[in-house]
Parts: sequence; C-alpha cells; structure tokens
Amino acid sequence: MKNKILVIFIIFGILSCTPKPPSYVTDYDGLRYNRYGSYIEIRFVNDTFFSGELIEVKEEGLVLLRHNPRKCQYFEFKDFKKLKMQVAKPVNTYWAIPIFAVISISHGLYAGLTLPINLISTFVIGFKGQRQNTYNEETISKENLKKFARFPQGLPENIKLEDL
Amino acid sequence: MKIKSLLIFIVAIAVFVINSCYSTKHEFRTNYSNHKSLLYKVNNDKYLPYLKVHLKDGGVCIFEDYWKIDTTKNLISGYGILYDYKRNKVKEEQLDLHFNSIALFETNDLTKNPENKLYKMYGALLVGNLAVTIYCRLNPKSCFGSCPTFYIDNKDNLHYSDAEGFSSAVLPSLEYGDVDALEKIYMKEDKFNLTLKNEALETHYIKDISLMAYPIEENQRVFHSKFENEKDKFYLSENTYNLSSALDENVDITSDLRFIDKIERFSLTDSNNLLSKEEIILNFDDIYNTDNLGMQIHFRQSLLTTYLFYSMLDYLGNDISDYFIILENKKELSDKFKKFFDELGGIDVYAWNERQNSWDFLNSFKESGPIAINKQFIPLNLDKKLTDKNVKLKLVLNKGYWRVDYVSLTNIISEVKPVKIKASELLSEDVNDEKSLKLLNDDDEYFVTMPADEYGLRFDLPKKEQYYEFFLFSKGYYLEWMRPEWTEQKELSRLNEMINNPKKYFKTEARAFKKYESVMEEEFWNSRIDNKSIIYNEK
Repeated sequence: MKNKILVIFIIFGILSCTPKPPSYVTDYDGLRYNRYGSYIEIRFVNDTFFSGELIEVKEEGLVLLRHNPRKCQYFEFKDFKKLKMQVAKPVNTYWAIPIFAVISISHGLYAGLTLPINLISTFVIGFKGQRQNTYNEETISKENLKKFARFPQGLPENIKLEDL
Repeated sequence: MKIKSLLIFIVAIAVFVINSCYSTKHEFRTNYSNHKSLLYKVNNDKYLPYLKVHLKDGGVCIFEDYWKIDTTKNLISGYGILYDYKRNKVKEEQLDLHFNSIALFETNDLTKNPENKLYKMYGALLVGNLAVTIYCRLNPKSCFGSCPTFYIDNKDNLHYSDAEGFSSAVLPSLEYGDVDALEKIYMKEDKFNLTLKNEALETHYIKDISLMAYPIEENQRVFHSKFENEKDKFYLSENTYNLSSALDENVDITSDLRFIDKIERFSLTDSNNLLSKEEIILNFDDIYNTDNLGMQIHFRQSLLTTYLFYSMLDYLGNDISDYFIILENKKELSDKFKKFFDELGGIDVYAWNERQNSWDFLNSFKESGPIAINKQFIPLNLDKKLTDKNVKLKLVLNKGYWRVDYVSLTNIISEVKPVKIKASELLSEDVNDEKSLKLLNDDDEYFVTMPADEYGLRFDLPKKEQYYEFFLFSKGYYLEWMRPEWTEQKELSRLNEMINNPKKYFKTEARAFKKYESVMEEEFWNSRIDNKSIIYNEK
C-alpha cells in the first residue's frame, strides 16, 4: 500500500513539474492586454524543434522570434511535423489529484471504486487543463493562426526582422 | 469480473464526459480589416468589447474600457496604451488614431472562459464525492466494514465473504471463539487455501484461526450447531427436504427461503418499537424419512446492531476511552452492555405439537455479524410417534433484525467431530511469512492485523481426492479506530437509558432508526464492491 501511495505522489510530482511557457504568455483573462504574438512550438519532419513568439504568418510559412539566441527565423509549413500554439497559460489543476485522493479515504471500502474514478477524473481534467488555451495544426486553420501573430496584418514594410 | 467491467465502464464514461465537455475550437478572437465591419460587430453585439488596434507601422494600441469611432473625422478615440513594433510602451493617454494609420482591428470575446468548464467538472466531481462521504458518515459500517473476513478461492466481495470472525468482540474482555461453516468441497489437492482480510478501520487481535474439516461421502453433509451456553456440535447428515411453503403474516415467502441464492427474506423494523417480533411459518411436506430430523438455516444480521453500536460510540463522545476502560474492568457493566444487545433476541425455532395443539420451543440461533451468511443447524428432536410426513415449524424473530436466505430439513446420521487443522503457511503479498505464522499458531500470542492487511492461509488436509465439509474457527477481538465525528458530542443520558432501561430505549430510538433503515439497507446490499483499496495502512 505504501508503494501505491508513493507511486501516486511521484506521478503527481512529475505532473506538477510540467514545463512553463515564456513570461509574455498571459493567462486567459490577460489576452485583452497582451501585445505579443502567441507562443509556438514546431517539430519538423527531420525531428528538429523550434519555439518562439509568432511574428507573422505568410502564405507558405511563418516567422518565429526565438529567444535564445534572440533571432527571427522563417519556417515553411511543408517542413512541419507538428505545431503547438499556446495563446494563454495552461491551467494547472493537478493539485486536485491528491485532494480528491484524500477525500476517497473517507469513503472507506468504497474507496476501491471512488479512488480510481477520482484519480482518473482529476488526471484527465488536469491533462485537459494543461492543454487549455492550446491549439495544434488540426484545431486551428492558417487563417486563424494569423490572428495570433504579433503582426496579424503581416510584417510592416518599414520593419526588418533583425530589428525585433 | 462483472464488477471490474462496470468499473472500466464508469471510468470510460467519466473520461468521455470530461472529453466531450471541452472544445478545442477557436472562437474568441476576431479581426476586422476596416472600421465598418467593426462598427457592424459592435452594433450587433450591443456591447463595446475592449479593442486592440494594429497600426500600419507595426505598433499596437490597446483601448481598455472606453473607445468610440468618429466616422466624420475618420478617427477612433479612447483612453489607451500605445506600444511600438518592439512592444515597448510609447504612451498611455487619451488617443486619437486616424483610420489611415490603422492596419487591423482585433477584438477578444473572453466571456466564455473555457477554464470555467474545468472548475464545473471539479464541482460535479466534488458533489459526487461529498455524497459518498456523507453516506459513509451516516452508515460507517457499510463503508468501513467490520471484523476479520475470510474468503475461499480469492473471492473479493465483502458482501459475499465466506466467514467473519468474532463480530461482537469489540473489547479484549469480550474475546471469544467462533465457528463458521464454509463449504462442502471436493478436494483434488491436499491443500486448502483461504484469504484473511482486515477490511475495516479496526485493529484485529487474532488468537487463533483453524480450519475444521470432516471427510464425507458425496451425498453427505456436516452441519454446525451452536446455541447459547452450549458447546459447538457437528452433525453428519444425509437427504435434503426442501421447503414446501413459508408464510410471513399470510404472505407467501417460499421462493425467498427455498433456495441458496442470497435472495434473503427481510423485513423492516417497527417504527414504534425496535423490539417488535414477527413470525414465519414453515411447512415441509412429503418427508420420506422422518428419523432424526434437523433443520439447516442460512441467515445473517441486518445493520440494526451496527447502528446501535455506533450510536453507543456517539453517545460516549470524547469519554469513549474512559468508558471502554471501565467496561474492561467492571464485569457488571460489560454484562449490561451484552444484555442490551441480547434484548433483540435470536431466531427462535418452534415445532408444532399436534397432540397438544401448541408450539414447542426448540432453541434460538444467535450468531452475530451482518456480512457473512451463517449456516447453522438445529436438531429437531421430534417425537417420532407424532411425526407424520409433514413437519410444521415456526420462526419467531425480531422485526428488521435478521435476514434469512434458506431453510431445509435433513436426516441426522450421527454427531461427529471435525479435525482441527492449523495453518501450514501464511503468505503476505505472496511471500511466506514464517514469523506471522508462528504468532498465528501460538495459542498464547496474538496475530495482529491492521486495515487493508491481507494474508493467504494454507492448510494441509489429511487426504486429497476427497469430499470435505469445512468450517472455520476464529478467536480474538478487535478495536475500532475512533473517528473524529464520534467524539464531537456526547449524550450520556441516552447512554444511560440504553444500558439501564433498554426496553424504553428501543422504543424511543425506533423513529430515529427508521430514518436511516431503508436507505442504509438498500445502499449497503445493492452495492457491489469488487476491488477494495483502503489507504489507512500505517504499518
């Protein structure tokens, strides 16, 4: 039993340590004040990985502002394997896993039924929370992707990518 | 297996519902290429959303609360913050932006926050959890079980446990030994396996667990008989005479009592007096051998004693440990405690005396415990001269106190003595635990189990490829783990009435019990727990 509890807490610990998006990504309510483009992660067909702020979306590709080193870079859609766009911070509700697990204790023998239901439900809700405010290539079109760029109208002619 | 499937089904439904509650469709951000489409949007929605204006020079202006479009001057005005293309703040003041400088308008409708759906899901989950918590608080025994439970063949459902040990021994001074009939089994091997569990929030002090076995022929049975102030007796018997009819106040309940199917005959208590009695008339017709008849009965207690026991704990409040010490040391008090529960009586058996035209009292069954079904036996000792092919018996029992599954008659061949076998192996998580085995088999020591403990017991039989009738002997006592809600308030006056004037108490408590009775019984017996996981293990 001790081992089972330990496993639950290890899983909870791992889940709690999910990577955080950059600081310019606000929470959902902060979208009204957010002046930056959304945070994008791209995995390419050659399995390389890039992430950064979405600057503009063009016909055949998009421009990302990478932060380390700070540099704008153009990527073509045809090279994409996966795309993930984080428009606002994810909602971390994994804290509910141990709480509902503890509530199950008060169910005595019924904990055999309620504990797995609580663990699975809170894990699924937590998982959904982690993917809240997140879109991928299947859930957002290129037209909608444009709306989340720093320059949805496209990069103004007077601005050079190197200046950003 | 069915329960596991049900669990998987419930989990799948939960996952499906949670998944279906979440939409990944983007719908909150809208761009407008000119002020006309923005105006159309604003007029239609009849509210002014905050506005983000993307400028042709790459800057962006965010109007927070108030802004307006002036179509005569081709301006959009309002209090806002202006950022340059690097998103450095340029100014925060009343701004007038000419349409010619604007590349794009952006609105974000954040009224439908998808995060709220997550919290609604948690709310629903919490309500469900609280309902179970409240139920468990009202009916602790149905949630937290009781006494050591024993299972043959890895069965795992509390409600179908094959035996429960020393249910009434809630204090060291109340320790006693208890025989439970298990099953008649053809043993191919010479090992008998039993699982011992502690499924309650209790510490179990087990003095002895022994298997009792008697080798029999295929057509024979051995039945156990135990009555107050008498020794355990075992009767070898043959032939089974099924019940012909059973009447409960003129209601036909034959089908409830004729078969071993766990469909039990049960009644609710009297709302005016918990000591009200009832009668069941049993008829056995066409008995072809009336020699040495005996009656087999399968029964168990309802949750009434459970309710009364926990009520007593409630009344004691935070004085509970003091009173338990007094109970341990003052025999007259522990006798009163025992007498209180004895008031409820047993299942009294009467036989119809044709000559005297009256009922003859035979004896009374009084096995405790609401979990495992007791299989007991009573020799009828009927006068052969008076016994024709029909036998009429009467059961008198307290309303709402007993659940009866089965009755039948049989012919006693002789009284026998099963061989008592100590465990040869004790397995803890499939590993041989010699130390615990030594404790279990030492008559002077206690083998102690804690909540969620589970042990496999192996017994060596004298012979394989043989029919056996098995019984289990268990001796010991258990201590309930106190729960905070029991110590919140005390009602010593009620306790006093309970102990010193039980007849009055059973009347005054009747209505209070009725509030819980139907829900408690229905929920407990309709629930089917397959996989138990108690996380109170503090070894």
